[in-house]
Amino acid sequence: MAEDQGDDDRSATLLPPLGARGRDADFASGSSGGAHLVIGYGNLLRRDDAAGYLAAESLAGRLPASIRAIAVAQLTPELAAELALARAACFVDARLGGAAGGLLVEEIFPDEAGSTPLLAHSLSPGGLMQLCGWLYGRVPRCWLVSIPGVDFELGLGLSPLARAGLAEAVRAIDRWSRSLEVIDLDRDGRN
Amino acid sequence: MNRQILIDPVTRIEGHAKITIHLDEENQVRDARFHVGQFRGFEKFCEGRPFWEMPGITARICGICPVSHLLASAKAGDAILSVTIPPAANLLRRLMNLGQIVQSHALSFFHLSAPDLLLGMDAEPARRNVFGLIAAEPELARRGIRLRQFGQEIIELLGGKKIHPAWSVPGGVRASLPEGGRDTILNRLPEAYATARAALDRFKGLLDRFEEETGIFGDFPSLFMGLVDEQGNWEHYDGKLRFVDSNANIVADGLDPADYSEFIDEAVQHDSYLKSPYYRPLGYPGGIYRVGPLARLSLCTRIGTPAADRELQEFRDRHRGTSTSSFLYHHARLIEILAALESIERILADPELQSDHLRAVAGINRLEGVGASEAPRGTLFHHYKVDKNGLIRWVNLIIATGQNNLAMNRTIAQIARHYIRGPEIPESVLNRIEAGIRAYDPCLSCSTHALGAMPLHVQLVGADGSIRHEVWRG
Repeated sequence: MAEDQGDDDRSATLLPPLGARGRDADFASGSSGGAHLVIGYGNLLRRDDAAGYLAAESLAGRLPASIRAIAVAQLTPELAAELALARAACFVDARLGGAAGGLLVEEIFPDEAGSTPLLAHSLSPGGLMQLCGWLYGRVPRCWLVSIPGVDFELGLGLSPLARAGLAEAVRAIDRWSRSLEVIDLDRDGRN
Repeated sequence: MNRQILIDPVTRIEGHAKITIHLDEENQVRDARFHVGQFRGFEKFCEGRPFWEMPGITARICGICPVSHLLASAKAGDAILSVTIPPAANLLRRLMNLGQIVQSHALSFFHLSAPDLLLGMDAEPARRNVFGLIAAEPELARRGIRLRQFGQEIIELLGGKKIHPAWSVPGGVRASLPEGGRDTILNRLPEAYATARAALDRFKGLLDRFEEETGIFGDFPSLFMGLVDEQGNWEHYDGKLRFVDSNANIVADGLDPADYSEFIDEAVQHDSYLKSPYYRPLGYPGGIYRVGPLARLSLCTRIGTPAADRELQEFRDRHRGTSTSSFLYHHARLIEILAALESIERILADPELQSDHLRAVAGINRLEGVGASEAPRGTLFHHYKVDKNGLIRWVNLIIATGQNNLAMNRTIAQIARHYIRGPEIPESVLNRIEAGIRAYDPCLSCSTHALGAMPLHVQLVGADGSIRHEVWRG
């Protein structure tokens, strides 16, 4: 779970909603590599923290074959191997704070060497990207979709805010995946 | 007034934690405590749920060792049904647990502890991590990842998903190994063996360098507890409990895990949600015991697979007199990876595995059940009481990390006593305290049932309560 730093602090990195044309194009511009990857993560027993996991789970059955969705409790090192094979990747997480319609999409980059808080068994998306680069010599372009949430206590079920954010995230990633499919078809056609 | 050194929390372990080191009037380390400040509400949360759902729910306690909870919970369900599960289901559950042991031990060794061991305890924190390891030994790091993937793949083949596979259920399992699954595992076994052997050789080659750490990283007498089979051999899924002392003398044997409350009690600290179990006949804190890889290797008569037994013999020959050191958890973990790989191969050769009789069907025949198995970090107990409709009325979980709590406290105290020489904690001491805790590979998301971030916060508190020195890391 990420924590919302507040609108002022985030204004520099906050990207337009996925519906914005320009951003869609950026979001869809996967580089070379294999399949596209969606990694949703969170703790299913911590209410809104589950939003990322549930998004990936929901997407798993509907995405085209060229896009793989993985739902995990936390980001573990072996995901670096999956990431290394991906053309582009989208992480989906919950964040504390935000308002309705406050889905955030931002391009993310590998953490700087040594800057990753090396927690026990899990990594941040940037840390995983860093690990991927160190181990396999390439890192795909990655985005982080973060779903606003308010309740991260022990329990099952999402708050209305997170539920709405989850639906929005699924739609956005679904749209992203369809645009990728077009790109892939075009590429195949040219080839 | 006594002085305190606070370390809050520890890096690279799950959940939130802090360490307080208590000094006496002469500034000598008197005691140390490992605190967990996260609310532990999971047992209450489960009340009212059907016991059938418990394996799926409890598997979500932890993203790293869901299989351990899945199996212990299903076994508690077996007890409520009063059934003996079909032999094939037994084998399949064992296979999944072995996959879990491989992946968890691989993560612990290659990604958490190897930086300490291969780069040295005095390497700067920015380098003494997995990235430093990759820079120094990229091939070893890659092989570690693939070994972890191998364990995960077994879990995925059986459970359908890497994490939280609600596959093991009261009475047995939902599905057998899918077609082709056996060959998939067998094809990857040679590489897994090679990685395990390479890691063992690498570790054994380093051991002489860590003679000092071996002597002070939790080297003290204690009991060891774990499951053994009917012959007293290494066991990871079923069997009876055995306690041995520091000289490997059997203190108690053939104990039914269902009777755990007769020989295990749990002390509660006012400043931690982590319970501290102890061996009841010796009282608190004299009944301190350790669980996990070092305990399992200390108490088993033999492992029961050839390569691992050779390593066990070498381990015992080599560490005679110091096998009470928690530093040797690392060595024990690597031997267990080898034991797990051999056991996987043995299970795959068992024709019973092909049986499609996977589940015993029964109703609720008892209103109480205990399930116990060996999680990678040690013995795990799930104890449920249900009503006549099978709804959970009461839950008690005894987690491996909790059972090692007293030993972790003593380890920190021993390290601090050896190295701290003034009102500050030098980086090198901090590194060693962290490494001492990591030897146990604690999983606080299990012990507190929560996940959390982990910067390192160290405070030195003087006799007057003022903070004299404070360090943040991470």
